[in-house]
Amino acid sequence: MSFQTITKDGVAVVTVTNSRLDASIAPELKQVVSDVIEAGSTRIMIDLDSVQFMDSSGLGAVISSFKLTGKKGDFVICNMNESVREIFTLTHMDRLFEIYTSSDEGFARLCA
Amino acid sequence: MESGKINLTIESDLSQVQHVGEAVRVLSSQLELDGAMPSSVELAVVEAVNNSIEHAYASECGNTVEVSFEYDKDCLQISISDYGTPMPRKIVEMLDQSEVRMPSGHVGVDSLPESGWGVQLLKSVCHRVSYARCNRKNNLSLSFKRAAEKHPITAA
Repeated sequence: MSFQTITKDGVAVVTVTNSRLDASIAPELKQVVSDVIEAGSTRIMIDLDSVQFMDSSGLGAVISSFKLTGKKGDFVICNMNESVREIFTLTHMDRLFEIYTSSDEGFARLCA
Repeated sequence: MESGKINLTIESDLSQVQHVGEAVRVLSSQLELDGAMPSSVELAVVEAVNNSIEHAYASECGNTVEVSFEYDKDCLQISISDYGTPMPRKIVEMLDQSEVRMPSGHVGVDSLPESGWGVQLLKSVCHRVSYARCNRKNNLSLSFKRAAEKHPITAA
């Protein structure tokens, strides 16, 4: 299992448990988020605490998840290490996503 | 380690790519690359190998991707080769452009691309990227200066 999902106070937290969010597991992230949305969640947090490496497929999966959540939903990302954050910076995606340094901050934002 | 050459061959299976990443990290450590450079090199190599598997071989297992690392005190040169479909002209032209094109911060969410980021990331982190096809072999060359200014990925 590369992902773990828990729902708390209406917030779906999708934790990437693999150390690599790459092309080999990126499609699975899209499916996990799709399932969460189908189950009724509109507030989603992706926790990248375990992720040490992310490639462009991982980035694409996060973008896809964001788009699936839609304009009526809330989508945040938390716990990026510096090299993962740099991918978002290089692609300017840091300007589009709400990124939090801890899961507590991200969760508080979604519960506000 | 002043200079040397290392060759790796992997099967065209995305689950194998992580082993190339591991090899890059070991080599980076042996070469004592600075703190930021190993992450950039790993990203570039993984993107190039993914490209061979997903596009040249259309994700078909059972083919080979060759990765060659050649280094001296100034430069790290990495070649990623496959025998699959040639790289599309549009992508080759993107590689040849000096400019790296990323979306502005004002692009709408719906129009955000979910794929196609790999080439731009390659260009962002490598000193030079070039593609050639010879005798049905595709070869993508990535160059890094060992004490270069251009490897922006921050160390983990």
